[in-house]
Amino acid sequence: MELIWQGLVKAFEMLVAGDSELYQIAWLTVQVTGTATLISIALGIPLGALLGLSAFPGRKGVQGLLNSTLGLPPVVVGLWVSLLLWRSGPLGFLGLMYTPTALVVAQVVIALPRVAALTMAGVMQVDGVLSVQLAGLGANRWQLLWLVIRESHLSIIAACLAGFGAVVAEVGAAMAVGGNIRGQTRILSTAIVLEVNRGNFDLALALSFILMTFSYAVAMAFTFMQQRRYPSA
Amino acid sequence: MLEVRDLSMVRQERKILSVPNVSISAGPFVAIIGRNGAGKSSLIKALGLLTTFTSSAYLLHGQVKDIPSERLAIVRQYAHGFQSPAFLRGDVLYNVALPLLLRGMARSAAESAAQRWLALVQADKLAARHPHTLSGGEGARVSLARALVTSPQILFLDEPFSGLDVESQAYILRHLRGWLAESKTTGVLVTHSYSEVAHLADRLVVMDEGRIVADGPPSAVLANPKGGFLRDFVSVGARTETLA
Repeated sequence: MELIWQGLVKAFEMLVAGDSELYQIAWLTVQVTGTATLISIALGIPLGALLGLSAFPGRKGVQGLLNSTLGLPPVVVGLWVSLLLWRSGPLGFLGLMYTPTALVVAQVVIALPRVAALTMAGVMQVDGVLSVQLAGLGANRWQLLWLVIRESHLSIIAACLAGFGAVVAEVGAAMAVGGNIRGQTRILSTAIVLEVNRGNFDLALALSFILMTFSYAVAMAFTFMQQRRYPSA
Repeated sequence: MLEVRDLSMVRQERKILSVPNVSISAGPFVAIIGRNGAGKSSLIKALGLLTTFTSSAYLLHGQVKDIPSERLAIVRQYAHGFQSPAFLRGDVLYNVALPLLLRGMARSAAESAAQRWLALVQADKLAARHPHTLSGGEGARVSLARALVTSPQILFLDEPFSGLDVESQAYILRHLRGWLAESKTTGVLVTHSYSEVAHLADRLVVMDEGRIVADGPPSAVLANPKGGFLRDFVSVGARTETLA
């Protein structure tokens, strides 16, 4: 308990003291996870909704593949993205390895399938009767897609939360593609691992409190959106 | 108005509809009866293009329609009423205005039309309520307002009143023909209810095993009941009338 208390005090002290490195790490974390989450939401929701509502040969196979990514270890994603971005890799000419962009790419690969898979499950759950009735009301294909997404908002916001949770918590991919370089690609999760390895548990705890506060704030924002009752249409 | 030739529907290698010719004329209210699984709901879903089927010709106002390319335009000339209408997030007014909004009408005009229809079905006081808070009778009236707000040419009703209490059912049966006349809409109703047939139908279609086995004025069809189902339908109906 003493150690946890010390960590909490240290976190407070660092924030009050305006520790520039801490703020730089925290801000990069917000930028990277925020960008990755937004990209994953923007692409994952339409993808999941289309997969949930469309009929095409091999649909179940594609859905199974998407669901299988829910168990994809971030370190494996990091490995594959590294192989692609490495100087000698197929995307090496972009020069993205060990940059914040590489972190965003890896985190999108982690979060997007989660957002898509959970969106797919959400729209399939409400779709049973709704699609037929919406078609009967005169909805075209895109109106129908939008209205089903709108009606699945509880599941879809949960999907967004799952996507955010996956990227804010992951370390393996960020380590692999970012290298945890001080002042460049160090984010809160990789900084915590570094401080734990150094034995600086109070500092690691302080960073973890900041990460948890950030995570809680985002989760609360999603929760408010999720539980908003019947907003004006 | 609507005619479909050689209508056939197969599901899981089982033929569930086989109708050489079916037509709906503008005006007369059509009731479709038959035992469970006879193909009644499948037939109106096929006629309303809410499901897939095969046919040799689908004619609307005498013109052969190419369903794949004209589906949306055709569907927007119809409306549907379901036993469990699905309402969306938003208030009753939004839900009733929705079919017009989907057709591109400006929001203020759509809401004004929705208000008018809510008033016609005596549900104007429900406009600001959320549909999930409505009773069955209120929901049925709101659903009918939503269906009629576009003044559809045909309203397909799939047992929409079967879960209602007697009072709500009686209210709708008293007024439905008037509402349809107001919107110049032809009604097609799937039902198991003798009283709905007696109150509404100008024409009675009887289905069995995916086929139309009788079709004509209700008095003529029910006067000479062929088959066990129709005899039972008439017998139960006669008892109901006696009780009334």
